[in-house]
Amino acid sequence: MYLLSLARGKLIKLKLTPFAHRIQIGSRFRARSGIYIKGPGKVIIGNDVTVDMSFLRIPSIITHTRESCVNIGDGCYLGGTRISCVGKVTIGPEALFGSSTIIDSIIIPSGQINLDQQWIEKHSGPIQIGSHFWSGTNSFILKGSRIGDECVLGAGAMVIDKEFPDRSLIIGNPGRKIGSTR
Amino acid sequence: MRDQLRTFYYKIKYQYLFKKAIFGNGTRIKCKLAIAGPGKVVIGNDCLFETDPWGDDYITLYTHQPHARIIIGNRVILRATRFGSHLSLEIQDDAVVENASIYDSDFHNIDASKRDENFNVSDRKVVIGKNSYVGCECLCSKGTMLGRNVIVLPGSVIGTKIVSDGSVLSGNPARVL
Repeated sequence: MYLLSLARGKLIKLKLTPFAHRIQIGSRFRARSGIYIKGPGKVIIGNDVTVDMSFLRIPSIITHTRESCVNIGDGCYLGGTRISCVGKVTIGPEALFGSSTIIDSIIIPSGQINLDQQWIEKHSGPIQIGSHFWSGTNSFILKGSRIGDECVLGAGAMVIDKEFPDRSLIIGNPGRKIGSTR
Repeated sequence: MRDQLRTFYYKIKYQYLFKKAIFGNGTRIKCKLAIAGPGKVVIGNDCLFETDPWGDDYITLYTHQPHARIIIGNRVILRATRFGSHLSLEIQDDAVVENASIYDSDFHNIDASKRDENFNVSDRKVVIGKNSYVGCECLCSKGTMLGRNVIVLPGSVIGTKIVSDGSVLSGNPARVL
């Protein structure tokens, strides 16, 4: 199973990276399902990353502008995670994601919206997630949220425009800190 | 070309063959569309039905009663939205709805012994106002009345609530920020 996913990761890497310089995938990339990367922005995936399907969702990364950048650290696990990026999304190393949704703008831009600097400043904010993060199923990480190291986000929780310190346990919609993980 | 063919196919299928929906002029359909049930669906001019950015590609417009209506205004954008109607759902002009669920009924009785019976006692109308935006994975339950220019953030759940114009909602249950 390990070798199979490794081989599939190699195939995906061969398919994606030579034709688009904006996509960089590190070594030992393991794919237990497909991965869906679309848009003109930059996507950097570190070493030892695993992608998997969860609840029939394929992990998918959408970038909307040339300047937008998704940075996924070493050793992450993406299980059906959906990322929509206008500005910047940074995920630290060894993070574990369920089928959560990450959107760094209030409105997901479509063809009608003029995506200039003014719109981006008004409607979006960068997302910063620390190392060893764990997020539950159906959780939402929305614009401007900064989460520290070793945090846990409960299932169905929603975080927006808020900073959380290291080792916080966050639940609820809207999310609040109810304890520490250590 | 493919989208034009698809739009043509759905128009023939649902407007002329099954006689369940009325499509306006200039409506483009770029995803799969399912219309079922005994009610009626009215779709306005220049709407856009498309997949959500991550690839979910089914719009369902289900009516469960003969008098149920789903009315979609002009220039509305739907992205893989799921509708279920017992009474009346109304999306007004220029609204954008992401892959949310919009229902106007409880669908089943609270009493366990009556759960299989046809149930439409506590139905309430749902209105999504002009130029408002409903984020992805929202649940607009029965009695949701959104005004104009309302933004509903992703993942929020709205119950029986009347929302004034221009407000921003989030949370479960949804509150005005």
